[in-house]
Amino acid sequence: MSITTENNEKMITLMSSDGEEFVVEEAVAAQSQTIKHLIEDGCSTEGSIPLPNVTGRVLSEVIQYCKKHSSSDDKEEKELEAWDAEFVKAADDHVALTDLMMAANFLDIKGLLDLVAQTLANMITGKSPEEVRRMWNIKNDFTPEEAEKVRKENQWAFE
Amino acid sequence: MSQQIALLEDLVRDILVRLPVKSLARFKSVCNSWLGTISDPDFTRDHLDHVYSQLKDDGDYLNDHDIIKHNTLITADSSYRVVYQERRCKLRPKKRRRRSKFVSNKAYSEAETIDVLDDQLPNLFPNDQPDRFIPKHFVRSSCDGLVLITVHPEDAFPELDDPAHPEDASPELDDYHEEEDYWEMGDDYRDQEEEYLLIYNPTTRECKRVGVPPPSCYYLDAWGIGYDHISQSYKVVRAPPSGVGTPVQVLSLKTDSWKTTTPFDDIVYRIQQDFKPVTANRCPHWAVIKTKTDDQLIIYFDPSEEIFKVMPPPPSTEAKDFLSGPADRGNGWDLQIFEVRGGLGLCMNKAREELSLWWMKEHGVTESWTKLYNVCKTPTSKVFFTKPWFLTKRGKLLFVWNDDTFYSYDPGSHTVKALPRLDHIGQRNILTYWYWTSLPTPYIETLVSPFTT
Repeated sequence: MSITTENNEKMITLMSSDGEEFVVEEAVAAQSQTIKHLIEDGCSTEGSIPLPNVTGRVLSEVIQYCKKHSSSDDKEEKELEAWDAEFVKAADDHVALTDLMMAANFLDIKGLLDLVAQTLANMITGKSPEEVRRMWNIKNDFTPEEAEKVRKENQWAFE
Repeated sequence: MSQQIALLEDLVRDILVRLPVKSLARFKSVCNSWLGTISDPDFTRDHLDHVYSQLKDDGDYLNDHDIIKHNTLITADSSYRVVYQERRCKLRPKKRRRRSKFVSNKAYSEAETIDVLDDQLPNLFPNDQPDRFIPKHFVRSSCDGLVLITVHPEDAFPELDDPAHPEDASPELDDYHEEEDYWEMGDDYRDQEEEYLLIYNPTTRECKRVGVPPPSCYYLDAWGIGYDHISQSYKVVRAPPSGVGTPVQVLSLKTDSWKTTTPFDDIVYRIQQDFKPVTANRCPHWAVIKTKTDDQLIIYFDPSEEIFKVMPPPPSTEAKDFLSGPADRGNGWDLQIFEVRGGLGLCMNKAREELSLWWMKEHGVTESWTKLYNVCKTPTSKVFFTKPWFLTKRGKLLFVWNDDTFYSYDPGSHTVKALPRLDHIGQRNILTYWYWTSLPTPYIETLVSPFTT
């Protein structure tokens, strides 16, 4: 289903995995390479575009990002950087950021993926392997001997 | 939660590639999958690419307060470090190894010492005679995080005896790979101390030793290290300080083999005072004077073709007038090169009254030379004497003046500011005859191993 606004902007409807609908300008949605290709392939003419991997909560954040970045071409780079910093800050914790990163990956929005990856990288830079495992529920699959060997080889990094 | 983790696997690499090497070394302990990702040679390359992209995009990697006295070293954010060859050196009796200390640091307040061969060396050199000191180790150059150090026999250069340390033991270093082959120097080589190179990654602390073929090293030899994109190998080049038909030796780190070439074509030159090359676009560059004409040139070693090439200067009348003909040669500081965001910067010092700064945005492309700005002498300034170091994103120039302090020049306000120094490091005047050996060598922090190239 495509609607046209007074400004002649073509509108697209996106549907999240939990059934929430978002009506956005095509230019905003096309920040996502995935959606852009779907539009080009004519998938948007009938009804809304379903995004089965993205929840409504995450999608609304992604749309915020896309709106800002599609409307600020001629704005100060600095202002946009500051906005980005606030944006990832609002995402709050690593779980929300990980959700956002997966959405950015699925929707193929490079700028957002880079932004969130960098934020997560900054978050874990000073952490211990144990803390990182806890963050993402990663299983320590080393044998005690392997663990000791790897640890010993990189002892300097723990000092 | 479990769905999130399964998907995250694909994204781990995107996060890890942005981390400093120290975090990566630690995170090898997270799980087998992370260990595999971080140990993958492709990951090393992607990480290196990311470090370079940071240098290019976030040019503001040096903050004033990160600069310390040059003889400690400088650093910036996590992406840029400098290794400095400490002038102090423990002397041992003849036939024993003399060892030098290499210092790097992380932050202004946190000085970290990385010793290549020894630790906790006392300062045996009183400051009143630094110019008599010729170290046994020379930090020569760096490329992609690998630092090239030459190590010379005890008696290669003028001797200094050390009565203070008669018989102390020589501790060996864990990551010091003795098993590496070195060049056979004949039957009697055991009677001499051998001459060799260390290819050292100060970040991962991997160190590889390679022998040096004859002739014996001359301390003023120009040494450089660069990357050959074609054979995908790091290469070390050793050239005489003046190119008058002397052969040039090239080492491939992939095969550990040396070859001798005469790659100078028709360039006959002599290197100006700075024998340490500037590494830009992964090639070593030198500012030289062409003999006979006295033209000033930039030459660089192309590691793929194994020849020296002349870098075209900016195509402007200003540059042409400056570089050609016998201008004020003064003390040889007229033409300086330095690094700008991984690329080549050029500084024309006009009679020490004015600096003209240029940046070659695309390596080897004449048209990409971009004029940055001029620095004019102000009533408050003395002379601009020594080497420009870095250019920050906001265009601030950091340089060494005619003492051992770092300064920053702000083109906006046209002001020069001395950067804070760490007094406890000690004061030493670098402008001695051997000053160039103590100039810092910048390096980036990478996973690149001297063993797998």
